[in-house]
Amino acid sequence: MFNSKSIILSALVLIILVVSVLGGALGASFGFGFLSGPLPFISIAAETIFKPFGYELKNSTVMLWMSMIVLIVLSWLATRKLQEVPSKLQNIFELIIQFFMDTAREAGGDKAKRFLPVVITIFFAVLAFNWLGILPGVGSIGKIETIDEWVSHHSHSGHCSKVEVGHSSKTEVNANKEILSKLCVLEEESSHGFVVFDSYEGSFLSKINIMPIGRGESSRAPLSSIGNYEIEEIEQIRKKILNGEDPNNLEEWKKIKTNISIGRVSELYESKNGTVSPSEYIGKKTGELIPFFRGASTDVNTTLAIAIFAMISIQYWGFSSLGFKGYSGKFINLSHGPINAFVGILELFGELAKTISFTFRLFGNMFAGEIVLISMGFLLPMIGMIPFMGLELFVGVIQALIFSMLTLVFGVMAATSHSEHDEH
Amino acid sequence: MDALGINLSGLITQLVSFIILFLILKKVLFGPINKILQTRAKKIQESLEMAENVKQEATESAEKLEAEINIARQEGQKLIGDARDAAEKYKQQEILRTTSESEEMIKKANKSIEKERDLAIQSVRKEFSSLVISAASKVVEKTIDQKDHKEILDKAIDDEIGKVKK
Repeated sequence: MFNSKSIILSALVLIILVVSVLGGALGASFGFGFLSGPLPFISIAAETIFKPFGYELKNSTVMLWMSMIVLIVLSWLATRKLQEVPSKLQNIFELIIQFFMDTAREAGGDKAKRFLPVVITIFFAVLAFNWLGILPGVGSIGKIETIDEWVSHHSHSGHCSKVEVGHSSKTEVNANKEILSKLCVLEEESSHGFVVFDSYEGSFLSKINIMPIGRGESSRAPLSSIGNYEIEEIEQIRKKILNGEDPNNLEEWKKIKTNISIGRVSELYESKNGTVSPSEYIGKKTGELIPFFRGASTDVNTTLAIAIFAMISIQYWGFSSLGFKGYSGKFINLSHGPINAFVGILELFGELAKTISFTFRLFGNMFAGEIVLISMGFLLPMIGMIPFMGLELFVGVIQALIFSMLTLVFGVMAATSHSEHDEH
Repeated sequence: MDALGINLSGLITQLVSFIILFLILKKVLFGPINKILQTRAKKIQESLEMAENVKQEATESAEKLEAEINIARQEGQKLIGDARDAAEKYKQQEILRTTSESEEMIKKANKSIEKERDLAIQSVRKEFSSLVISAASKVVEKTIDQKDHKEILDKAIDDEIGKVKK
């Protein structure tokens, strides 16, 4: 039976669905798209948010520290007042630890018990990294990097490999190297889109850099329209500099340089789907979002660090339970013929492969999840993310479980001698 | 490497942070929980053993009780038997005693009855003889002397008594 309440509710759901479909990227291709912002630039590398004393503080490191604090506080709360009849929080931790204890006993008997601190730490840490990365605001709240900062940052990072040394003397090359690499960045990334911040000039909204809602991909201005240059111009400037001319006297370079340092849209541009940008864009602020937070497991450094930690622990368990001779005999096996020697070498490469697979399994899954969430927010604003957030929560648990279980299994394998292994 | 974002300073930061996290969690989380899990397992083991012991004790005491009940039952049976025997004996004795007593009493009664009868007979004889004498003296006054008279009378009384006796 339908009552008025359920009719209103379903009508509301339908309206939200229609609004989100039309407002998203799908609607944008039919002339709607009033909700779609520009697709954020997806960077595989973690961004640097600030540089104290030359150290690059990454946004994934911030997230790692936050996850650490959350984990430590939670476990402190759980174990602060230990009771024989456990409290709720204590019970959750106990259940998980008990689960790992039982699994370890099944996998490797009593000797697997000493692997547990590492395995359980990996589980909780990876779970915290994954889940905190799904929080709203992670990847979307940050500071705006200006075009000037962006260009010099990219020219410093050695991203551009096209700096050629001409026939000028070495000291001149060094002096002009920075300008040359900047030119190279301008040339290579001329179509790199920057978000046009469509805020009301003069009002307080201009200070908080609101993203332009409803303009879709067309609100990304390419670098060339901000610097107001053509690729041919860059080519000419480079030739002149390499011929020994002082770049500070070159009018063309001065013009581009001031445009870049102003960092506003300076000419009309065509967006990727062929529409010309609205004329009111000229003079608007542009920039790139540098998120303050990035899920710790969406940075290869984090996953590589956990993988290295896990592999060092596994090697340590191997050496300590089989002895130096016993464990290294798995890899360097010369007394049992050439086939066994070859197998030993393969095993050695296997250990390396384990580290790499550990690293990229977790990174790949979590980074892909991040991209799925971003894309769904782009395609179906408001509602598209919801089911995928649930999926990401699930994937977060699964990945944490896989990482810790594999550490446990590899540990058991490393601590089992070959002869013992064959008997099974 | 750079395109993937792998850099040494980031890697070292994450690794060091992770090792610190491991050390803290080991101390704050794993140690205490492991301890309490072990104490709980021990406690459960102990209470299970205790329950086993209690159960065994209960069985033992039940067996003991059963045996005691059996003994008591046998004793009771024996007591009842003894009591019955004693009662039977007593009954027999009583019966014997009463029969002999009653027999004696009957005998005594008979004796006294006989005695009474003899006495009655004697008194009756006395009465009769004097009665008859007086009656006869009135009928045959002076014809018969006193002595003869008495003889005849006695004979007659005896006859009469003999009749009565019969």
